[in-house]
Amino acid sequence: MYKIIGGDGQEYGPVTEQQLRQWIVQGRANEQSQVLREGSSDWQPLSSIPEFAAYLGKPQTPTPPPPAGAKPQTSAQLRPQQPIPSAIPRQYEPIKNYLIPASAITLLCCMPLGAIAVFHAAKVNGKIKSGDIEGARMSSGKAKKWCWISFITGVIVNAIFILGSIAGIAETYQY
Amino acid sequence: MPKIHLVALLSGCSLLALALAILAFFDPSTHQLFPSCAFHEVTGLYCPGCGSTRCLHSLLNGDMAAALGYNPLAVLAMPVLAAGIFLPTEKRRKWTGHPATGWTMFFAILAFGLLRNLPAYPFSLLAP
Repeated sequence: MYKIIGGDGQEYGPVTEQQLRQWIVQGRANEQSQVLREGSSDWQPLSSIPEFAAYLGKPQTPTPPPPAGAKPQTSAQLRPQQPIPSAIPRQYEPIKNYLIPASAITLLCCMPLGAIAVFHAAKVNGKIKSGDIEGARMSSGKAKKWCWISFITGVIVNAIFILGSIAGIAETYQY
Repeated sequence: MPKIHLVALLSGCSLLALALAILAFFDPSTHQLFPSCAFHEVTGLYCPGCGSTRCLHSLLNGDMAAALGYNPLAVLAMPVLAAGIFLPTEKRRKWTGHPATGWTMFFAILAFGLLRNLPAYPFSLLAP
């Protein structure tokens, strides 16, 4: 269990390791978030806890400099007042699930392939919930891929059919 | 907002508005302007999206009964899609990110796609 200092300076928790991982993915906690591990008396930045290193290690955007007001820690006893969670500046893009585009493509573009994208989108949500961040990223990538595949197929196929129907109309009006 | 995004957004919106206007004005069931579902042409089966063009046309003209007749799932999904686009970011993330939302969507599409191809009476209502 961990306690964490929010961007509002408030203390949150105790929360489970899994919950904390979810907050990292949602962009509510970042490597500078100060965390107190249960049984420890020192607040430390999230990045110094090995369990979370894997989740912090893959920024999808280049890491911007620390937020204004963030000071290097001088005393571990002092509770740091850093702007971090809840309303923290987001350093990590939250994992997108592509549920809405996937559903829209399936239902509105008449592309049954889109159902595969919806399937992977649904998996993203479940995996984030269970703390499987790597898996969520993978499913997110697949959802994105299938969105594009079904969208592009849809555009091409529909374009062919539109051309076909224009040809059909032209033929009708010849007589 | 960067300028380029604004331009993209505006042109996207005007294209969409134009498409909707055309769709509202011309009836897809009598005009050949719109593509018919390629999947249906090739396989003879109805996909979960079949009838959605006529469904949208009916919705844009306020004919709810006809819209439901063409594609009930598309009608039901409209508020969901709208919520997924227009809700404020935090709410939208929470809502579209919920596992139940994803799986409901997936199984609804799957079940709908299967059931509407059954030739027996209550299911044939689902066909466009």
